[in-house]
Amino acid sequence: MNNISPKTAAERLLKRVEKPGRYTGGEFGQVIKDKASVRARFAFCFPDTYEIGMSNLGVRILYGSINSQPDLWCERAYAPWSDMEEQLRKYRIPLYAHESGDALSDFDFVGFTLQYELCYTNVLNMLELGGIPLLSSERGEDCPIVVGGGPCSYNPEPIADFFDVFSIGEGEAALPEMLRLYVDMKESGEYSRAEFLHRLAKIPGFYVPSLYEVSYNSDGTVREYRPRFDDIPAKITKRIIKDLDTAYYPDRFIMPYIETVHDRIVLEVYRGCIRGCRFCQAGMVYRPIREKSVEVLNRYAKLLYDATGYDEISLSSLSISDYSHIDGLCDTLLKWTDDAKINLSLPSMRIDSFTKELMEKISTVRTGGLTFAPEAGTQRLRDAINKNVCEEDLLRACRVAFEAGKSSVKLYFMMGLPTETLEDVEGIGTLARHVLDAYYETTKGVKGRRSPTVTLSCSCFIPKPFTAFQWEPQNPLEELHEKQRYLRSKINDPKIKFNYHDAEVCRLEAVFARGDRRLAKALLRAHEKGVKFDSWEEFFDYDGWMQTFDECGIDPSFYANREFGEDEVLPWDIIDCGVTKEFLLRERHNAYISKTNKNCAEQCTGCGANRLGGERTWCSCRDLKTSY
Amino acid sequence: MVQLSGSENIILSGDELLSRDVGELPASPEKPLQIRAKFYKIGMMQYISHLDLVRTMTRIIVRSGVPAWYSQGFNPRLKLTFSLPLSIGTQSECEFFDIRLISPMSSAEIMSRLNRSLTDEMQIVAVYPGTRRFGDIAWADYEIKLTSPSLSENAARELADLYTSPLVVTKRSKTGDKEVDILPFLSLRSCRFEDGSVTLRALLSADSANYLNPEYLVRAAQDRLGLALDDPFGECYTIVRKEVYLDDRTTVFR
Repeated sequence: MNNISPKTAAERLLKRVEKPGRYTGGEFGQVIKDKASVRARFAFCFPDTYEIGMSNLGVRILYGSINSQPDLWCERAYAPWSDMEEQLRKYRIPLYAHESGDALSDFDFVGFTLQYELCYTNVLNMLELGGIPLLSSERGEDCPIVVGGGPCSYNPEPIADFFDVFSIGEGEAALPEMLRLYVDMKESGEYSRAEFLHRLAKIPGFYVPSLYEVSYNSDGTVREYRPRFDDIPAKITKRIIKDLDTAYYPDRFIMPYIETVHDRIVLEVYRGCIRGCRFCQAGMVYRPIREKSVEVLNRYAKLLYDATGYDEISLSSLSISDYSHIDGLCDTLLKWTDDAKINLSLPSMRIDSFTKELMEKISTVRTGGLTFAPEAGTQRLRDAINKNVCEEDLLRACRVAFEAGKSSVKLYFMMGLPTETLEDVEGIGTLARHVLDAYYETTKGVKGRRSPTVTLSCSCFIPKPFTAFQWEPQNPLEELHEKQRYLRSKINDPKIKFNYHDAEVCRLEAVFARGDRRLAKALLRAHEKGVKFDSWEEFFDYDGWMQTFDECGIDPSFYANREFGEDEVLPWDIIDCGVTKEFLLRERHNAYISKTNKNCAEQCTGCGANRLGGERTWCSCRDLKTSY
Repeated sequence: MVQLSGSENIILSGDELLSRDVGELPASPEKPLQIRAKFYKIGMMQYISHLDLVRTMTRIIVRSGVPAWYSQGFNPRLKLTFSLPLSIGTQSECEFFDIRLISPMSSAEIMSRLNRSLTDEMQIVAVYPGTRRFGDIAWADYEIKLTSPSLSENAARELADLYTSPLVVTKRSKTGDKEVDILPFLSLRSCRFEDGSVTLRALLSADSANYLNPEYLVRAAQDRLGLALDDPFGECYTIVRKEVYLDDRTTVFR
């Protein structure tokens, strides 16, 4: 076993695991480079299964962006499923990167994309399997630099002890820049781990947690963050790509052999969101809004079609129908996609933009199910969260669908939103009945129509950093359960199906979403107990987690169920995501009086993200170019 | 080495067919030309399932620009047919698929376009005008290698005996477990001991009614010799499909 790579050794194990196709590598589109001619190696780790990781657009962009430089090599690694982990541990084979088959510990950098809080235990497990010390303070000169990024890095504090550095914001330019600094320092002989991290901390968008000292008040809240050096910033401002039209975008994708979650061409149409729903983190942290032009999108669609052979193109963004040239884009694509037998799909459609014309154009809408997200059951609460959708919008959208022959719709809601009362909860059921009524009105006198179904899917509100609701307590577990029971008791029509998320999962997510560095202890303890794949039902153990918190002297309610003070230093105050705290506070108070905002295309609400710059936007943001 | 009668009778024929260039034959949308590709699937690629292989190859052909024929109708589909499916964990040196061309393209060009998308553990080795039906495949030749420190010449003799006598195994199927004597569906060609491994070559029935999975032979060996074969770095086994034959057991399928 000594002379062969971990992957070659692993080949022999695969007879003994489920879905071995997860671990083979060798997909078309993977990048193989000559180790001898490469100056820095980066292992891009996705802390969940291969099927989920391979579907992630961010990974595809960053993988391509690093590999576009001839002397840098980015490879991939995923969390092995428990059966594979057992085999790797049994035969002492380290977790390996799919391309070279080398162990993670052989890399210069090991990067994790942090897509959801419940993947944190998988991060620790992958580090351990890769042969890398878990705590950044325990890593020696020869250890890889462990870097984190992605949505959860907007509050990196619960995992700060495990990471050497976080890349805050968009990484297309930042990651290659970091690797370049490393190469330069290595080759000029100036490299030491400490010196590298110190210099990195001076580059915009890099947060080196070990260089900031945190102190706490006696009530447990954060007192302050103090930089350990004078020449590093007190607050880390996120990086953005100013012009998406000229930014790197992959012209080929890695083609998985096995079926993955999103196995299709994905075109990223724009970043940011004009809507400003008050619970939504993505809508805030990806601001300012920046669009791509129809020409560029069409060019990449063609390149990717030629390079992949996929038969579906998905237009991706937070709210696709808000794209300023959505009709033009669809028409331009449809000119050639129909002939090439390619389907267009538009996820994330807003109720108020759903029209008959759009439905006819979009084949996945034509054939698949329909999903809308009113989020709340009453107009008052929808106004409080700034959803800007009314019941009539929903009923109109449903009527369009029913007239076109659909008989089922799925509606997404969130329970436990701030200011929610039982009346709002009951409103979810009422809304569902009105949708059913709309079906019978629409299909009156039409023969051969099926019985309709309305599926209600209810998740629980989780207060997230950098939202107007970041200070809000999550409903206690009992209250969430009570609301779920209440709604269930109000629904007695078998044509209405009611599904709801596990409130315990949402609570754990809330703890880590608003957590601070003291949670590292609980993560370590949980990892020692073998906890992993918390987002998977078959692994999630709520009672186990509560016991772990207890053992570590941590009160989960402090993070999940406490109202944070408006003048309190928040753990994520160390990060500047563009949107200001003043704006978020204003929005919080607007929620209490159910005051809605116009969207950014209509009127600027002064969120502050425009300070970061950015081109090609249709919104009325001050200081932003509206060249498109 | 235990040499059994019959193995010297294998006639390697049809290989001149493999070198025939499909580019010289007429192909049009009205009269599509059926062509066949022979490929191998070894190493890590043995873990890609048949279903995943079909999907992968479809995409590879679509993006290759090879002028392939699609079924007509509302949902046009690439016409792509594979020979005998291969179980996960079995490698193969002789897999086939058919597509139809709607305009001529040379075998070399088709191969180079498709192989660009494949790894070195799965490569197309020939593209030729194959006309025999995949249903004509009646036998498949496997090389099964068992490795264990406990094996010896004796074990090879014992296995040769095992595979040439009536051998009842429990076959699992949708209709329940069934006791079957697999001897009629199995023809041992050789069985030898070398370097701590017993390597056997056997023809197994491959027609759809009596398909015999080579794993049954491994399990029978496990039972007879008391082997665990569950240590990937010690006591283990590999299976490679080497060749496929017609009903006469001697004419190779091409």
